[in-house]
Amino acid sequence: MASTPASKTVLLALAFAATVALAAESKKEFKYTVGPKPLVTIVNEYGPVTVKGVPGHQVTITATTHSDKVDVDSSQAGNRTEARTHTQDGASPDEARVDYEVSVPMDASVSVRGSTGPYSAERLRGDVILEGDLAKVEVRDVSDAHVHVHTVDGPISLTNVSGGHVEITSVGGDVELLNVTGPKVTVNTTNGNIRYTGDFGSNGDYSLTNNFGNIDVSLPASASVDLTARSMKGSAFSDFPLEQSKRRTTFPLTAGKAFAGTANSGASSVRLRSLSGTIRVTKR
Amino acid sequence: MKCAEFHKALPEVLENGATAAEAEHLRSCRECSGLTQDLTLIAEQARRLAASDEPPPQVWQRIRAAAEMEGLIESARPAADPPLVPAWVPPAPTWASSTLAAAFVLVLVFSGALLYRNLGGHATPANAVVADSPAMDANDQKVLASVADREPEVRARYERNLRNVNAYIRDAKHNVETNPDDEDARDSLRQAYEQKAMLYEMAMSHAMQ
Repeated sequence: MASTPASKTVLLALAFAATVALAAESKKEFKYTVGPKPLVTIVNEYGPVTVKGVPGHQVTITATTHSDKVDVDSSQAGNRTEARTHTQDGASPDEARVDYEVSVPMDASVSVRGSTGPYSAERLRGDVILEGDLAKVEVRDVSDAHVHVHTVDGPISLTNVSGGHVEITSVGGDVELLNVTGPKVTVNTTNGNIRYTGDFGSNGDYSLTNNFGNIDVSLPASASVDLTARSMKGSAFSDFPLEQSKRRTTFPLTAGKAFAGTANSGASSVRLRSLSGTIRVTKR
Repeated sequence: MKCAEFHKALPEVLENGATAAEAEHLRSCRECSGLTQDLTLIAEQARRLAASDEPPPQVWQRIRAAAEMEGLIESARPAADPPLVPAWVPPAPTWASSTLAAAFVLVLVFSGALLYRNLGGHATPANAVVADSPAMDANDQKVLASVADREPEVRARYERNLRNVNAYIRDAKHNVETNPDDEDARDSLRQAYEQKAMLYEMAMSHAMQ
């Protein structure tokens, strides 16, 4: 196919733009040897941070910048490693964006703070703290560790998290928990929907609360729970078979507003509360 | 001088300046130097706030009384000295452990100043611990101002979520008034306030960065 002068010009312009973009993009890699249970902190206002647990004793931080208005500083002090984004005044979010890919020993404790994210952490046995205003947060395959996630309205998703305290707080973000168990699991949102799919493990204390969103819980028949649910101004429904609980509730069990009961031996305590939202517990 | 020794001496350093040995350590230790710089900045900011709005001890007592009236906390044990930070506020980590801890203290100081304005600065009813209206009050505006230099999307999201939290507080408060003996109603109000506290804290921590 013959190309016209106009199309050649467009192609040249595109090639030039791509060259400029590539020139502005820069990748830095930092490697540190660490001891057992290291602490890794990433502070990144704009852009994604992906943290993966890997075997070994090395922390590797790869930071990709997209303009010369942003820089990355990384350091190690003892068993503590930190990487921090520094942005020049006046840089736009696109110019200030840095993409982090971080691999850490699986027993590392990880802290990520910033704004837009998204953030993800997976395959870890150390504590995970993720804080981002608008950031979408995903945590996967974390065991025997505390997981704390705070967002203003970024959605939060936890999958296969077990054995530690889980504390999720978001004002407007939806929260999805899939196979999340632990001795203490709390979720508190204002307007976010909360969805829990799993069996609540055993000997755990679970509290899922919101103001106006939905709380949807999907349980297998084998779930062993002592469950109370109440929506003070909204509604609460269950099709999960619950036996009458031996302990008294502190609130009236008004049909359509509240219910309570145990299933199997009632090993885990589950407290579902909404001020104005809808609570649904279903059998799967 | 070792870092541990320097940390012990840090309050003196911040208060009265560094001795020759401490100055030598600061020159050679990047971590302690950074920590000192951060704490000095935070202390300056806190002093600036304290100079204008430092709440006297009775303000904390009034806040506590208001929280008790709300049913947010149980009645207090009599205390020998009124603490700077009320006992029902989550305990702060030791201040020298990290700059984050110091930042947390500043957030508390700032929050205290905001609450002081609400309680002591105006003829506000005792139970008006924080704004209970979906409308933005002066404190909310200050928090929004702290995110004003960030991208418009962030500010818009903060504003929207502040309004939602204020609505949550208003509804939860009404629920407590209607059902004062209801444990869940009180819990709901406590959680609504926790949401607002988190929102303030996140905005302030970004402003500090």
